[in-house]
Amino acid sequence: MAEGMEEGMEAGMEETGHMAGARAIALDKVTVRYAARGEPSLRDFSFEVSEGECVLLTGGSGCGKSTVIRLLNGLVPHVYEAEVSGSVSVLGHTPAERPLQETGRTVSTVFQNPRTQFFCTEPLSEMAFGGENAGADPAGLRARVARVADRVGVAHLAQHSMFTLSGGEKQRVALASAVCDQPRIYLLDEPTANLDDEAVQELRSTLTRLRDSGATLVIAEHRLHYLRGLVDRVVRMDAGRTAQTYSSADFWNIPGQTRRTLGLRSLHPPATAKSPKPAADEHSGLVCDHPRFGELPFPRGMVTALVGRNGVGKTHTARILSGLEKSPARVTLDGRPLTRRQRTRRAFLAAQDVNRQLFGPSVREELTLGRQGIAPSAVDAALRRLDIDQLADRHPLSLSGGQQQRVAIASALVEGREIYIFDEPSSGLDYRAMQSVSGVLTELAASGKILILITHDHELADACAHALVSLSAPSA
Amino acid sequence: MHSPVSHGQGWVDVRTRLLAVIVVDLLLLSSGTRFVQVPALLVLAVLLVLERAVRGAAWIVGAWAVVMALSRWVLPQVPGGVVIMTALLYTVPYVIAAGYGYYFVRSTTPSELTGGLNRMRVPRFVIIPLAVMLRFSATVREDAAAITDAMRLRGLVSPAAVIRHPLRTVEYLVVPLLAASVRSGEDLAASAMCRGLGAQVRPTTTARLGFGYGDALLGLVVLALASTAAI
Repeated sequence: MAEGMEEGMEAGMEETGHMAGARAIALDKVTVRYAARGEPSLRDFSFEVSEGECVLLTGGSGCGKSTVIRLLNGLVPHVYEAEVSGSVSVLGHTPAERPLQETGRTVSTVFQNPRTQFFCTEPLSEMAFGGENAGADPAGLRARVARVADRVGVAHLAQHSMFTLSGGEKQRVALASAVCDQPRIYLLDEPTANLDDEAVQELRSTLTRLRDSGATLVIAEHRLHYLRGLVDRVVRMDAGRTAQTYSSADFWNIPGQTRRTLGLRSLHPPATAKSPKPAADEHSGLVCDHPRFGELPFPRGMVTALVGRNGVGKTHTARILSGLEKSPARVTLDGRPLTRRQRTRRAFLAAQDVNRQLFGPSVREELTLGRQGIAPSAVDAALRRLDIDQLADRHPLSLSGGQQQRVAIASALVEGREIYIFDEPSSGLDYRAMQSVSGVLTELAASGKILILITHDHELADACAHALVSLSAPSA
Repeated sequence: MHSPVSHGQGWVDVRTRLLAVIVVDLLLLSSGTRFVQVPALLVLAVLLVLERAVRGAAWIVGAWAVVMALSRWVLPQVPGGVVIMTALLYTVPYVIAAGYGYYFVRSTTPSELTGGLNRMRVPRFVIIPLAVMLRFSATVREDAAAITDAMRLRGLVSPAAVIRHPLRTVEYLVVPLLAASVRSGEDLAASAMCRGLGAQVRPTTTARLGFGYGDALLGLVVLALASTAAI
């Protein structure tokens, strides 16, 4: 019986190919202005996608590509209030005029933030969620879930709670869930922001399979190289407009210099990590003797990249180093052991969601909050150093992600912290923002601090890391 | 048919758990005698341990023991202690009842709740808000934990600070928590609706629902509790 179900599913995937060539998506002179913002996010934007086509939307942060995705799945204007003019047509319907749930039957979205896009607490229920809500037969749905889990490479996560999965693992479940929903159009908003190399390759092969089965794909991305040979067309956006449309061949042949001027990330897969493992020095820098990973050295005056597969324990190691997690690991700074309490005083940890670590009513007060004896001149110096002095009176939560990150760093600097740990600071960053993060890290390292950079992003690691510590699960 | 996919909880159906929690809470809050309190507390501890919430179980039993010890040996000797004792003893059944609520939230997944309530023909306008609250509460807990961690690193939460400026500490927590929860809530709702939550169709469920020995056992335990209350 199960076999019959699977065949049914295959047929379902094939079926989407019948309409190849017909128009799947048409945006005509669309202008979108969010309620909270003055500037429109899209201006007179026109965009067409044929059924079965695979299109990449790229451009700097804030160029409007996420807004395009939200127009296509109906979240603008259903959830995110906005003034919309022009016409939007998705498979012949206007998403604004249909309930979100109905649009969702044919259009699936993989969102940017892995933490807030699952509803169920276990991976398999999450994958079944769309089918359940569409009233699918439970036995058939279970078989479909098992099959997709296998093909998309999440079967090994089945026994875990969603809350204990890493960001990258959650992101893979999100993709598997979209595949389970069997839509005709897939929308992906920065799907690789949290993925390791192998997961990126798996994503690529899943996307290839979906494209070959006739599905329509729209991918909004900063990280580009893995899409080579997969997309049919590229639309580069700038300030809410189409800056340029490229055929696949033209896009992948853009010369490096032009690419950087346009603010695009690398078009080629990064070379394998070239940075050496730092030499362990008992007397200088931070050394963690980890029960599972052995000795992890983080020298002073260097940016050390901490890399490893999704879910191997990078964030957990960061929590040990910053004293948030109890652990038998021995941590020494310049040869002297540090207690957990001491680590919370010496280390700064920039978490994946920076907006949850800012507390002051203004940027200036953020730096002095709960601290005695901080001279105003030191505050000004820290603000200037991170180039946020003109934001001193703004509320931290009103700033952009990149600006918030700078505020958090300034706050650690003013206290003279020595260990700076960044957990995936480049997720969702375009080329310029990546360069700027890399500049801040290099500058801090140059002043003798210990910099630890957790990342999957080789471009960022190549730009600023001096050494590389790789975590791998012991084979035993 | 044997499917390779098995999920949903182990030994008791969500409907049995819901009924058990409601009945025990009613017993606790209506009679409130200690005869039902002690066995209800013990049953709760066992249920929590079965859900691997050992710490939660230890906390509630420990807190109960402290309150009992205080009101037996300490408070009667202290001037004005009787008032405190009465107040403490008055809150005990409420705390145990809340413990049962925690057990239900902890042991129930949103899909199980939706599936179970659907079988019971509970209308959609009741089920969806309940399921969303269940899911959202987990996100708020996650946000709160992340913010508390950041406060610890930032030196904003220490025993001294909490005692000297309790309100200020709460303020540090609440403002970012509200901001984070609003954002998370919006994103959660957006993605759940895109996946059909709240659609006109009657949803199905892949969660394992059905009654077995576990349900009979829990039913008997609840009956036994009810008979203790009747004494």
